[in-house]
Amino acid sequence: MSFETIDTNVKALWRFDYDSNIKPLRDLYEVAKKEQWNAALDIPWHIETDPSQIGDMSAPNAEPYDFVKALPKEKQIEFAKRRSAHLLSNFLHGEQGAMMICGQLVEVVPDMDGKLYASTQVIDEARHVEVFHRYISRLDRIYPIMPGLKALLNAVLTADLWQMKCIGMQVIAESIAMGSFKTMLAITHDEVFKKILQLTSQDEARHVSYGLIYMKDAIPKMNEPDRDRLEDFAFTAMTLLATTPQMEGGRSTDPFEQIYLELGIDPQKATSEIISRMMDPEAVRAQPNPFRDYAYPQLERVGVITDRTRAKYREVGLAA
Amino acid sequence: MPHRFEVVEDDCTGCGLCSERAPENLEIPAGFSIAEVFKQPETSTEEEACLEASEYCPAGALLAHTKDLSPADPAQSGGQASFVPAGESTPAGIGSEDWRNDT
Ligand code: SF4
Ligand SMILES: [Fe+2]
Ligand SMILES: [Fe+2]
Repeated sequence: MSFETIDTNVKALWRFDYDSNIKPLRDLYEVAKKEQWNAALDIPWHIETDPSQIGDMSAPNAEPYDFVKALPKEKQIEFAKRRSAHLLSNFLHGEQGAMMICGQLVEVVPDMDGKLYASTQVIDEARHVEVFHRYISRLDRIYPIMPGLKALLNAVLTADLWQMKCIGMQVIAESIAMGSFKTMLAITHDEVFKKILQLTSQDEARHVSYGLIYMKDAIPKMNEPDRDRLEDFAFTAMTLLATTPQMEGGRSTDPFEQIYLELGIDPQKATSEIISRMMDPEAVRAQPNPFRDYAYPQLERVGVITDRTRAKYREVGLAA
Repeated sequence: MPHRFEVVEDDCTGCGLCSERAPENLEIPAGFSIAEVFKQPETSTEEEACLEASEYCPAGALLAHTKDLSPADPAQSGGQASFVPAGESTPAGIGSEDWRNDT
Protein backbone atom coordinates (compact mmCIF):
# COMPACT_ATOMS: atom_id res chain seq x y z
CA MET A 1 0.00 0.00 0.00
CA SER A 2 1.45 3.31 -1.03
CA PHE A 3 -0.06 6.59 0.07
CA GLU A 4 0.55 9.86 1.84
CA THR A 5 -1.73 12.50 3.32
CA ILE A 6 -1.85 16.25 3.29
CA ASP A 7 -3.98 18.63 5.36
CA THR A 8 -6.05 20.88 3.12
CA ASN A 9 -7.86 24.10 3.74
CA VAL A 10 -11.36 23.97 2.35
CA LYS A 11 -14.35 26.08 3.33
CA ALA A 12 -17.47 24.42 1.92
CA LEU A 13 -20.12 26.77 0.64
CA TRP A 14 -23.84 25.94 0.43
CA ARG A 15 -26.11 27.60 -2.15
CA PHE A 16 -29.83 27.50 -1.45
CA ASP A 17 -30.95 29.26 -4.63
CA TYR A 18 -30.79 26.61 -7.28
CA ASP A 19 -31.56 28.57 -10.45
CA SER A 20 -28.86 28.90 -13.06
CA ASN A 21 -26.92 32.13 -12.62
CA ILE A 22 -23.99 31.80 -15.04
CA LYS A 23 -25.42 30.78 -18.41
CA PRO A 24 -22.21 29.64 -20.16
CA LEU A 25 -21.30 27.44 -17.20
CA ARG A 26 -24.76 25.86 -17.32
CA ASP A 27 -24.30 25.24 -21.04
CA LEU A 28 -20.92 23.70 -20.36
CA TYR A 29 -22.55 21.42 -17.79
CA GLU A 30 -24.99 20.29 -20.52
CA VAL A 31 -22.11 19.61 -22.90
CA ALA A 32 -20.31 17.63 -20.20
CA LYS A 33 -23.35 15.41 -19.57
CA LYS A 34 -23.64 14.62 -23.30
CA GLU A 35 -19.96 13.94 -23.85
CA GLN A 36 -19.44 11.31 -21.16
CA TRP A 37 -17.64 8.19 -22.35
CA ASN A 38 -16.72 4.89 -20.78
CA ALA A 39 -13.04 4.13 -20.30
CA ALA A 40 -13.78 0.40 -20.25
CA LEU A 41 -15.84 0.32 -23.48
CA ASP A 42 -14.87 3.25 -25.71
CA ILE A 43 -11.13 2.55 -26.02
CA PRO A 44 -10.18 -0.23 -28.47
CA TRP A 45 -8.40 -2.24 -25.79
CA HIS A 46 -8.65 -5.35 -28.00
CA ILE A 47 -5.95 -3.87 -30.26
CA GLU A 48 -2.52 -4.88 -29.05
CA THR A 49 0.06 -2.15 -28.68
CA ASP A 50 3.07 -2.57 -30.97
CA PRO A 51 5.92 -0.97 -28.98
CA SER A 52 7.52 0.35 -32.18
CA GLN A 53 4.42 2.48 -32.80
CA ILE A 54 4.34 4.33 -29.46
CA GLY A 55 6.86 6.97 -30.51
CA ASP A 56 9.69 8.71 -28.67
CA MET A 57 8.28 11.45 -26.46
CA SER A 58 11.72 12.60 -25.30
CA ALA A 59 12.49 14.93 -28.22
CA PRO A 60 9.32 16.29 -29.86
CA ASN A 61 9.93 18.39 -33.02
CA ALA A 62 13.62 17.52 -32.87
CA GLU A 63 16.20 14.95 -33.88
CA PRO A 64 16.44 12.05 -31.42
CA TYR A 65 19.26 12.48 -28.93
CA ASP A 66 22.64 11.02 -29.90
CA PHE A 67 22.60 8.79 -26.82
CA VAL A 68 19.32 7.31 -28.10
CA LYS A 69 20.50 6.99 -31.71
CA ALA A 70 23.58 5.10 -30.48
CA LEU A 71 21.37 2.32 -29.07
CA PRO A 72 20.47 -0.77 -31.10
CA LYS A 73 16.96 -0.55 -32.64
CA GLU A 74 15.23 -2.77 -30.02
CA LYS A 75 16.71 -0.70 -27.21
CA GLN A 76 15.56 2.53 -28.88
CA ILE A 77 12.03 1.12 -28.90
CA GLU A 78 12.38 0.00 -25.29
CA PHE A 79 13.62 3.48 -24.36
CA ALA A 80 10.61 5.09 -26.08
CA LYS A 81 8.26 2.71 -24.28
CA ARG A 82 9.71 3.40 -20.85
CA ARG A 83 10.03 7.12 -21.50
CA SER A 84 6.31 7.17 -22.41
CA ALA A 85 5.47 5.20 -19.28
CA HIS A 86 7.39 7.75 -17.22
CA LEU A 87 5.62 10.67 -18.83
CA LEU A 88 2.20 9.05 -18.58
CA SER A 89 2.82 8.08 -14.96
CA ASN A 90 3.08 11.76 -14.22
CA PHE A 91 -0.12 12.44 -16.12
CA LEU A 92 -1.71 9.63 -14.13
CA HIS A 93 -0.66 11.27 -10.85
CA GLY A 94 -1.83 14.60 -12.25
CA GLU A 95 -5.24 13.11 -13.08
CA GLN A 96 -5.61 11.88 -9.52
CA GLY A 97 -4.70 15.35 -8.29
CA ALA A 98 -7.23 16.86 -10.69
CA MET A 99 -9.93 14.49 -9.43
CA MET A 100 -9.30 15.54 -5.81
CA ILE A 101 -9.04 19.25 -6.62
CA CYS A 102 -12.28 19.13 -8.59
CA GLY A 103 -13.95 17.47 -5.61
CA GLN A 104 -12.81 20.51 -3.64
CA LEU A 105 -14.16 22.86 -6.31
CA VAL A 106 -17.61 21.30 -5.91
CA GLU A 107 -17.43 22.35 -2.26
CA VAL A 108 -15.80 25.76 -2.49
CA VAL A 109 -17.06 27.55 -5.59
CA PRO A 110 -19.79 30.07 -4.84
CA ASP A 111 -22.23 29.37 -7.71
CA MET A 112 -24.58 26.45 -8.33
CA ASP A 113 -23.59 26.29 -12.01
CA GLY A 114 -19.96 26.16 -10.91
CA LYS A 115 -20.71 23.28 -8.53
CA LEU A 116 -22.79 21.30 -11.03
CA TYR A 117 -20.16 21.58 -13.74
CA ALA A 118 -17.27 20.72 -11.39
CA SER A 119 -19.10 17.56 -10.34
CA THR A 120 -18.99 16.34 -13.98
CA GLN A 121 -15.28 16.97 -14.05
CA VAL A 122 -14.73 14.69 -11.07
CA ILE A 123 -15.98 11.73 -13.11
CA ASP A 124 -14.01 12.94 -16.18
CA GLU A 125 -10.82 12.84 -14.14
CA ALA A 126 -11.72 9.44 -12.68
CA ARG A 127 -11.99 8.16 -16.25
CA HIS A 128 -8.60 9.64 -17.05
CA VAL A 129 -7.05 7.90 -14.04
CA GLU A 130 -8.61 4.66 -15.28
CA VAL A 131 -7.37 4.91 -18.90
CA PHE A 132 -3.85 6.09 -18.14
CA HIS A 133 -3.39 3.42 -15.46
CA ARG A 134 -4.58 0.72 -17.84
CA TYR A 135 -2.42 1.94 -20.72
CA ILE A 136 0.76 2.33 -18.64
CA SER A 137 0.41 -1.25 -17.50
CA ARG A 138 0.83 -2.25 -21.17
CA LEU A 139 4.12 -0.40 -21.39
CA ASP A 140 6.04 -0.68 -18.17
CA ARG A 141 5.47 0.26 -14.52
CA ILE A 142 4.16 3.34 -12.73
CA TYR A 143 7.00 5.77 -12.02
CA PRO A 144 6.99 8.12 -9.01
CA ILE A 145 5.50 11.61 -9.28
CA MET A 146 8.01 14.32 -10.26
CA PRO A 147 8.67 16.77 -7.40
CA GLY A 148 7.57 19.86 -9.35
CA LEU A 149 4.20 18.33 -10.23
CA LYS A 150 3.64 17.20 -6.67
CA ALA A 151 4.53 20.66 -5.38
CA LEU A 152 2.04 22.27 -7.76
CA LEU A 153 -0.80 19.87 -6.93
CA ASN A 154 -0.19 20.24 -3.21
CA ALA A 155 -0.10 24.02 -3.54
CA VAL A 156 -3.49 23.92 -5.27
CA LEU A 157 -4.96 21.41 -2.82
CA THR A 158 -3.94 23.59 0.13
CA ALA A 159 -4.68 27.01 -1.41
CA ASP A 160 -7.11 29.05 0.65
CA LEU A 161 -8.83 31.02 -2.13
CA TRP A 162 -11.13 29.12 -4.49
CA GLN A 163 -9.86 31.32 -7.31
CA MET A 164 -6.35 29.95 -6.68
CA LYS A 165 -7.64 26.40 -7.05
CA CYS A 166 -9.40 27.39 -10.25
CA ILE A 167 -6.37 29.17 -11.76
CA GLY A 168 -3.90 26.49 -10.62
CA MET A 169 -5.93 23.52 -11.81
CA GLN A 170 -8.32 24.65 -14.52
CA VAL A 171 -6.25 27.28 -16.25
CA ILE A 172 -2.62 26.24 -15.68
CA ALA A 173 -2.60 22.46 -15.20
CA GLU A 174 -5.42 21.77 -17.68
CA SER A 175 -3.87 23.96 -20.38
CA ILE A 176 -0.54 22.19 -19.95
CA ALA A 177 -2.27 18.82 -20.16
CA MET A 178 -4.07 19.86 -23.35
CA GLY A 179 -0.88 21.12 -24.96
CA SER A 180 1.04 18.00 -23.99
CA PHE A 181 -1.69 15.66 -25.27
CA LYS A 182 -1.63 17.48 -28.61
CA THR A 183 2.13 16.97 -28.87
CA MET A 184 1.84 13.29 -27.97
CA LEU A 185 -0.98 12.81 -30.46
CA ALA A 186 1.28 14.10 -33.23
CA ILE A 187 4.05 11.66 -32.25
CA THR A 188 2.33 8.34 -31.58
CA HIS A 189 1.08 5.84 -34.15
CA ASP A 190 -0.46 3.48 -31.61
CA GLU A 191 -4.23 3.36 -32.22
CA VAL A 192 -5.05 2.71 -28.56
CA PHE A 193 -2.93 5.58 -27.33
CA LYS A 194 -4.34 7.87 -30.03
CA LYS A 195 -7.93 7.13 -28.98
CA ILE A 196 -7.06 7.73 -25.31
CA LEU A 197 -5.49 11.06 -26.16
CA GLN A 198 -8.40 12.14 -28.39
CA LEU A 199 -11.10 11.38 -25.84
CA THR A 200 -9.12 12.76 -22.92
CA SER A 201 -8.27 16.00 -24.76
CA GLN A 202 -11.95 16.53 -25.52
CA ASP A 203 -12.65 16.47 -21.77
CA GLU A 204 -9.65 18.66 -20.95
CA ALA A 205 -10.90 21.29 -23.40
CA ARG A 206 -14.06 21.67 -21.30
CA HIS A 207 -11.98 21.83 -18.15
CA VAL A 208 -9.94 24.73 -19.52
CA SER A 209 -13.10 26.49 -20.68
CA TYR A 210 -14.61 26.22 -17.21
CA GLY A 211 -11.55 27.94 -15.75
CA LEU A 212 -11.57 30.68 -18.37
CA ILE A 213 -15.28 31.44 -18.05
CA TYR A 214 -15.29 31.38 -14.29
CA MET A 215 -12.10 33.39 -13.83
CA LYS A 216 -13.08 36.07 -16.34
CA ASP A 217 -16.17 36.52 -14.22
CA ALA A 218 -14.55 36.29 -10.79
CA ILE A 219 -11.23 38.13 -11.05
CA PRO A 220 -12.64 41.63 -11.67
CA LYS A 221 -14.77 41.20 -8.53
CA MET A 222 -11.86 40.36 -6.22
CA ASN A 223 -10.44 42.90 -3.79
CA GLU A 224 -6.95 44.15 -4.54
CA PRO A 225 -4.97 42.25 -1.90
CA ASP A 226 -6.57 38.93 -2.92
CA ARG A 227 -6.02 39.73 -6.58
CA ASP A 228 -2.33 40.36 -5.91
CA ARG A 229 -2.13 37.07 -4.04
CA LEU A 230 -3.81 35.30 -6.96
CA GLU A 231 -1.39 36.82 -9.46
CA ASP A 232 1.56 35.73 -7.32
CA PHE A 233 0.07 32.28 -6.86
CA ALA A 234 -0.26 31.88 -10.64
CA PHE A 235 3.40 32.75 -11.13
CA THR A 236 4.51 30.39 -8.37
CA ALA A 237 2.35 27.58 -9.77
CA MET A 238 3.87 28.00 -13.24
CA THR A 239 7.45 28.04 -11.96
CA LEU A 240 6.94 25.16 -9.52
CA LEU A 241 6.01 22.84 -12.34
CA ALA A 242 8.35 24.23 -14.96
CA THR A 243 11.51 24.79 -13.02
CA THR A 244 11.56 22.86 -9.71
CA PRO A 245 14.76 20.82 -9.66
CA GLN A 246 14.35 17.10 -9.32
CA MET A 247 15.11 16.65 -5.64
CA GLU A 248 14.80 13.21 -4.15
CA GLY A 249 15.87 12.52 -0.56
CA GLY A 250 17.85 15.75 -0.46
CA ARG A 251 19.87 15.11 -3.64
CA SER A 252 19.20 16.31 -7.16
CA THR A 253 18.36 13.47 -9.53
CA ASP A 254 17.63 13.04 -13.18
CA PRO A 255 14.09 11.65 -13.38
CA PHE A 256 15.12 9.21 -16.09
CA GLU A 257 18.24 7.90 -14.36
CA GLN A 258 16.55 4.61 -13.54
CA ILE A 259 15.61 4.09 -17.19
CA TYR A 260 19.13 4.93 -18.40
CA LEU A 261 20.73 2.49 -16.01
CA GLU A 262 18.35 -0.33 -16.92
CA LEU A 263 19.03 0.15 -20.63
CA GLY A 264 22.80 0.49 -20.29
CA ILE A 265 22.84 4.21 -21.11
CA ASP A 266 25.50 6.30 -19.38
CA PRO A 267 23.36 8.68 -17.24
CA GLN A 268 26.02 11.40 -17.22
CA LYS A 269 26.32 11.38 -21.00
CA ALA A 270 22.53 11.47 -21.43
CA THR A 271 22.01 14.24 -18.89
CA SER A 272 24.75 16.42 -20.33
CA GLU A 273 23.31 16.05 -23.86
CA ILE A 274 19.84 16.97 -22.61
CA ILE A 275 21.20 19.96 -20.68
CA SER A 276 23.20 21.23 -23.64
CA ARG A 277 20.05 21.10 -25.78
CA MET A 278 18.17 22.97 -23.05
CA MET A 279 20.85 25.67 -23.15
CA ASP A 280 20.53 26.17 -26.91
CA PRO A 281 17.98 28.97 -27.39
CA GLU A 282 17.09 27.83 -30.91
CA ALA A 283 16.41 24.27 -29.77
CA VAL A 284 14.32 25.60 -26.87
CA ARG A 285 12.23 27.74 -29.23
CA ALA A 286 11.62 24.79 -31.57
CA GLN A 287 10.48 22.46 -28.78
CA PRO A 288 6.79 22.65 -27.92
CA ASN A 289 6.46 24.25 -24.50
CA PRO A 290 2.96 23.88 -23.03
CA PHE A 291 3.71 26.47 -20.32
CA ARG A 292 4.68 29.17 -22.78
CA ASP A 293 2.38 28.13 -25.64
CA TYR A 294 -0.80 27.09 -23.81
CA ALA A 295 -0.90 28.12 -20.15
CA TYR A 296 0.61 31.61 -20.43
CA PRO A 297 -1.78 32.89 -23.15
CA GLN A 298 -4.76 31.67 -21.10
CA LEU A 299 -3.47 33.44 -17.97
CA GLU A 300 -3.24 36.59 -20.08
CA ARG A 301 -6.76 36.01 -21.35
CA VAL A 302 -8.30 35.92 -17.86
CA GLY A 303 -6.30 38.95 -16.74
CA VAL A 304 -4.14 37.29 -14.10
CA ILE A 305 -0.93 38.53 -15.71
CA THR A 306 -0.52 42.21 -15.04
CA ASP A 307 2.16 44.87 -15.41
CA ARG A 308 3.23 43.96 -11.88
CA THR A 309 3.97 40.31 -12.78
CA ARG A 310 4.55 40.19 -16.56
CA ALA A 311 8.31 40.79 -16.37
CA LYS A 312 8.77 37.89 -13.96
CA TYR A 313 7.37 35.44 -16.55
CA ARG A 314 9.73 36.86 -19.17
CA GLU A 315 12.71 36.46 -16.88
CA VAL A 316 12.15 32.73 -16.52
CA GLY A 317 11.26 32.22 -20.19
CA LEU A 318 7.59 31.43 -19.57
CA ALA A 319 6.08 34.36 -21.47
CA ALA A 320 4.69 33.60 -24.92
CA MET B 1 -27.91 38.28 -41.96
CA PRO B 2 -25.47 41.06 -41.05
CA HIS B 3 -22.80 38.82 -39.49
CA ARG B 4 -20.58 36.04 -40.71
CA PHE B 5 -18.93 33.72 -38.21
CA GLU B 6 -15.53 32.15 -38.27
CA VAL B 7 -13.56 29.89 -35.93
CA VAL B 8 -9.91 30.78 -35.33
CA GLU B 9 -8.48 27.29 -35.40
CA ASP B 10 -5.36 28.04 -33.37
CA ASP B 11 -7.38 29.48 -30.50
CA CYS B 12 -10.27 26.99 -30.40
CA THR B 13 -9.94 24.43 -27.60
CA GLY B 14 -12.78 22.29 -28.91
CA CYS B 15 -14.80 22.59 -25.71
CA GLY B 16 -18.13 22.36 -27.56
CA LEU B 17 -19.76 25.29 -25.80
CA CYS B 18 -20.57 27.12 -29.06
CA SER B 19 -22.25 24.14 -30.70
CA GLU B 20 -24.35 23.69 -27.58
CA ARG B 21 -25.54 27.31 -27.90
CA ALA B 22 -25.93 27.38 -31.70
CA PRO B 23 -26.42 23.78 -32.87
CA GLU B 24 -28.01 24.83 -36.18
CA ASN B 25 -24.77 26.46 -37.31
CA LEU B 26 -21.82 25.16 -35.32
CA GLU B 27 -20.46 21.72 -34.61
CA ILE B 28 -17.37 19.81 -33.73
CA PRO B 29 -17.28 17.34 -36.61
CA ALA B 30 -16.78 13.69 -35.65
CA GLY B 31 -13.09 12.93 -35.36
CA PHE B 32 -12.13 16.61 -35.15
CA SER B 33 -11.07 18.60 -32.14
CA ILE B 34 -12.09 22.10 -33.15
CA ALA B 35 -15.39 23.75 -33.92
CA GLU B 36 -16.61 24.45 -37.42
CA VAL B 37 -19.26 26.81 -38.78
CA PHE B 38 -21.08 24.30 -41.00
CA LYS B 39 -23.72 26.84 -42.00
CA GLN B 40 -23.78 30.61 -41.69
CA PRO B 41 -26.96 31.79 -39.91
CA GLU B 42 -30.00 32.18 -42.13
CA THR B 43 -32.55 33.47 -39.64
CA SER B 44 -32.36 36.10 -36.93
CA THR B 45 -32.84 33.39 -34.30
CA GLU B 46 -29.82 31.53 -35.66
CA GLU B 47 -27.81 34.72 -35.82
CA GLU B 48 -28.64 35.61 -32.23
CA ALA B 49 -27.59 32.15 -31.11
CA CYS B 50 -24.29 32.49 -32.99
CA LEU B 51 -23.65 35.94 -31.52
CA GLU B 52 -24.29 34.58 -28.05
CA ALA B 53 -22.00 31.61 -28.78
CA SER B 54 -19.32 34.08 -29.83
CA GLU B 55 -19.74 36.03 -26.60
CA TYR B 56 -19.58 32.83 -24.56
CA CYS B 57 -16.54 31.36 -26.34
CA PRO B 58 -13.98 31.31 -23.52
CA ALA B 59 -11.04 31.32 -25.91
CA GLY B 60 -12.27 34.20 -28.03
CA ALA B 61 -12.05 31.81 -30.98
CA LEU B 62 -15.48 32.32 -32.53
CA LEU B 63 -15.37 35.59 -34.39
CA ALA B 64 -18.34 37.55 -35.69
CA HIS B 65 -17.60 39.98 -38.43
CA THR B 66 -19.86 42.16 -40.45
CA LYS B 67 -20.43 41.03 -43.99
CA ASP B 68 -19.23 44.21 -45.63
CA LEU B 69 -15.80 43.62 -44.12
CA SER B 70 -15.77 39.97 -45.01
CA PRO B 71 -12.77 38.51 -46.82
CA ALA B 72 -15.42 37.26 -49.28
CA ASP B 73 -15.89 40.93 -50.30
CA PRO B 74 -12.27 42.00 -50.79
CA ALA B 75 -13.30 44.98 -52.93
CA GLN B 76 -15.09 46.54 -49.98
CA SER B 77 -12.52 45.69 -47.37
CA GLY B 78 -9.54 46.62 -49.50
CA GLY B 79 -8.53 42.97 -49.29
CA GLN B 80 -8.11 43.23 -45.53
CA ALA B 81 -10.30 40.98 -43.44
CA SER B 82 -11.47 42.63 -40.24
CA PHE B 83 -12.62 40.19 -37.63
CA VAL B 84 -14.33 41.37 -34.50
CA PRO B 85 -15.06 38.93 -31.70
CA ALA B 86 -18.62 39.60 -30.65
CA GLY B 87 -17.47 39.57 -27.03
CA GLU B 88 -15.31 42.58 -27.78
CA SER B 89 -17.62 44.49 -30.05
CA THR B 90 -20.33 43.98 -27.46
CA PRO B 91 -18.74 44.98 -24.18
CA ALA B 92 -21.40 42.96 -22.39
CA GLY B 93 -19.52 39.74 -23.23
CA ILE B 94 -18.01 37.14 -20.93
CA GLY B 95 -17.36 38.49 -17.50
CA SER B 96 -20.24 40.92 -17.61
CA GLU B 97 -23.61 40.79 -15.96
CA ASP B 98 -25.12 40.17 -19.38
CA TRP B 99 -25.07 36.43 -18.87
CA ARG B 100 -25.13 36.47 -15.10
CA ASN B 101 -28.43 36.44 -13.30
CA ASP B 102 -27.06 37.84 -10.07
CA THR B 103 -24.23 40.16 -9.18
S1 SF4 C 1 -16.73 27.77 -27.69
FE1 SF4 C 1 -14.89 28.61 -28.65
S2 SF4 C 1 -13.22 27.31 -27.89
FE2 SF4 C 1 -15.15 26.21 -27.49
S3 SF4 C 1 -15.42 24.91 -29.32
FE3 SF4 C 1 -16.52 26.79 -29.73
S4 SF4 C 1 -15.06 28.12 -30.83
FE4 SF4 C 1 -13.89 26.46 -29.88
FE1 LIG D 1 -7.84 14.94 -16.87
FE1 LIG E 1 -8.81 17.78 -16.60
